[in-house]
Amino acid sequence: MTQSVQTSCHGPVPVETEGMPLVVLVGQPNVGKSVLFHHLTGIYVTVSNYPGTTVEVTRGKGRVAGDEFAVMDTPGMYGFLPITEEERIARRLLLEERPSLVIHVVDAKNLERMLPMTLQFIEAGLPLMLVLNLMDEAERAGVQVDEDVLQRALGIPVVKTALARGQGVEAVRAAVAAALRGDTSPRQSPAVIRYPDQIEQAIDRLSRALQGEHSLSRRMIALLLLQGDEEIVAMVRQREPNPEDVLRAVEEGRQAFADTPMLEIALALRLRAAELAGQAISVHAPAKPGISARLSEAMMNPLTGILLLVFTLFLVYEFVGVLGAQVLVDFLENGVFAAYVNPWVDALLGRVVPWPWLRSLFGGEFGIITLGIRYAVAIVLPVVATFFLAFSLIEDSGYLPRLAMLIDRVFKKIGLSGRAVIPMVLGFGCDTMATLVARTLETRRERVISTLLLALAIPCSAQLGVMLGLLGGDVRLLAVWTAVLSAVFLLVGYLAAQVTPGERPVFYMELPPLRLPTVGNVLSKTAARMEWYLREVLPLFVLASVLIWVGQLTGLFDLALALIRPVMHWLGLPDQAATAFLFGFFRRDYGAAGLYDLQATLSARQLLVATVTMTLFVPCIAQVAVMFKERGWKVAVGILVFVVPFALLVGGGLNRVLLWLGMM
Amino acid sequence: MTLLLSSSVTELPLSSAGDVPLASLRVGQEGVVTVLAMRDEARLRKLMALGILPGARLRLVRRWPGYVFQIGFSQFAVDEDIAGAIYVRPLDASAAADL
Ligand SMILES: Nc1nc2c(ncn2[C@@H]2O[C@H](COP(=O)(O)OP(=O)(O)OP(=O)(O)O)[C@@H](O)[C@H]2O)c(=O)[nH]1
Ligand SMILES: [Mg+2]
Repeated sequence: MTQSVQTSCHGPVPVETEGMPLVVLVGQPNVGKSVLFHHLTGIYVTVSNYPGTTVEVTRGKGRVAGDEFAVMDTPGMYGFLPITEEERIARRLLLEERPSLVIHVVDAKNLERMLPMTLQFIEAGLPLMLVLNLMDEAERAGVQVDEDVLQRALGIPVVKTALARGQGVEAVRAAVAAALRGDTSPRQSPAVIRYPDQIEQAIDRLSRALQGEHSLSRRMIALLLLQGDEEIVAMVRQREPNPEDVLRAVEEGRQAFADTPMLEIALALRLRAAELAGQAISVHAPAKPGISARLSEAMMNPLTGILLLVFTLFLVYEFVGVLGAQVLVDFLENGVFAAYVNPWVDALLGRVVPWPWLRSLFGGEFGIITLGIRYAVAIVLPVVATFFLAFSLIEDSGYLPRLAMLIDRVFKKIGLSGRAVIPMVLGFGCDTMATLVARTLETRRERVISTLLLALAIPCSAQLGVMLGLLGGDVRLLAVWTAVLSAVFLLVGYLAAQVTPGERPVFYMELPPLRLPTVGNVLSKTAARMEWYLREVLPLFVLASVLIWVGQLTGLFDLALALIRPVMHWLGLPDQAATAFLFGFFRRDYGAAGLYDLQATLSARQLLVATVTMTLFVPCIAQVAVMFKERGWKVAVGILVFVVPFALLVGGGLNRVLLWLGMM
Repeated sequence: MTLLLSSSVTELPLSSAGDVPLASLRVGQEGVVTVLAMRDEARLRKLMALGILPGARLRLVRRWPGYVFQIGFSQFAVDEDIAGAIYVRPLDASAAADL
């Protein structure tokens, strides 16, 4: 069974759904599957306006007419034959689970492009329902759809919706109820499409050779085998009584075609889809290309695009770096914790706890409340909250795919395609989530390079926020910090591209329409991410306080500090900075928060060296876990072994350069 | 406005002398895809799933820093390599003009 990893600030808690009928949501990327999942289950999974938002399966529970059913949200897939890892995950689900209902969510205005997949689901014998979503956009584009025509031609229920506006949700629920009450055993696939004779004959012969039990129709298995689908070949070897006979039949079938019949099959599907769409759709004079078309154009024009990028970064800085990291942090840190919480906790402990050793667990310099909770709530939370809010707006607008196009040429120099812009930018929110999203990249080389860069040079929102708070008072420092990190990013990327073997990256991506972010989604997403964040960070921060407490009692803490001190000297930092770096091993943001406490005692040069080193330093535990799981231990260990000494090298080097320049 | 939608795929003989790579269309010019000249089968499949397949009618929207084109109601961005591998038969200038 596919289980989603719950390692970090990116996923909801799993739900128990044993024994319930299963409804699976599938379809092309960016069509509204995750919005529908939220409507059916009440569970929020990330919804954003770019293809490839969902990269793992989420399971939830829905209820219609008193009956409970399990619902699964899946990553978008482009076709029935998967290419990238997240597509493979979605299809594996269809091969392994026996869903009672499969809901194919599509973009109504691009029906012709969507229907080939619908036809394939029907051919596969899956119990299917079609949801024509984004009807509001279709209508604005002058597209009208007659769902009855489709319903009759395809023999499946068809529902029109505009899910982001809540339209049609009741109709979907009613259709789900009807489908779950009805017969859900595997169906005889209706003849929705006929391929060229040669292919039909090959399918017939192969279907007859198949004897095992499969979750897909024999016709579909035959089609996939003819197209050389390796996962299906493996399945045949496992489940067929005489796999060799089948594979020989596949070879014979394929001989009739120069290469594979892939192109012919795709064309036949597409022609049939065009025919169906032609019957079901009428197009009226669409609205004139409006402001969104012009904005889209401005985002992609290099000149205006770069101006817009700078302007966006400036707004984000004002909101996160100034409002979040300075105003709000100052208020919570000085106005709340220093003024009320900490003195109150210490006073209370002084009264009720007679033993100083126990008092120091909760209060004092490193206590759970006075340090752990204070860091999490007063220093990190305001920044994370403002960042996620600003970030949601950007994600939902559709800006990121356009940025990907704009930056593709630069990224090629570091061995990545423009598509990698998406995990890189997500990394500024949460590096762990971003490492997972690197799944959507096509080649292993791109996945490895982006994992390295995320681990090294992309500070997550928590860390970024504290850095902004530390350096934000002085624009020059911030400029140097940004310049050093950008240089490291490009240089390491460039070198990694030289030494990592593999194919050259290519770039192609769908540009979704620009959309006006909805208040509801922006707030839900921000709230969900803050919740995930706190759920991960609070326990770790508390744990760190406890470990430090144990370390202090046993003297190990001082020993560790003594070991780190020479490193501090190499960096030109004072002895106290060792504490922050020790914290940094737990989480970079925790370490950065440690620097926050030292702020007053550091010179500008020391501040710069400390923040640069800390930013490059070890990634957080959750990120390391995902690195191991997604990229394998060799890559993960390799990256870690590189990152720590490299961070210290850059920090020490920067210190010497700054000293030599006599700048600070 | 040319109706792109329900007529965006037609049966047509593949490849002929007048075909040019997408990369050599002018901005605003329309063409019909004839051949996808690439060896990587998975990539070919994905492009076709995106609707970029022989018979699809497209219009070039931008050439720099990447190639952007429109098919039906969707826009796609591709790099030079892909734009050089998608062969199209250009439609005459008058068809492009009224878009
Ligand atoms: N205007 C409009 N926007 C919608 C509608 N349904 C979804 N959206 C938007 O479409 C975008 C994609 O929605 P998601 O639910 O993330 O799509 P998905 O199918 O889960 O996408 P992947 O996870 O990438 O496969 C979001 O920006 C939604 O707000 C709709 O009915 N109308
Ligand atoms: Mg999704």
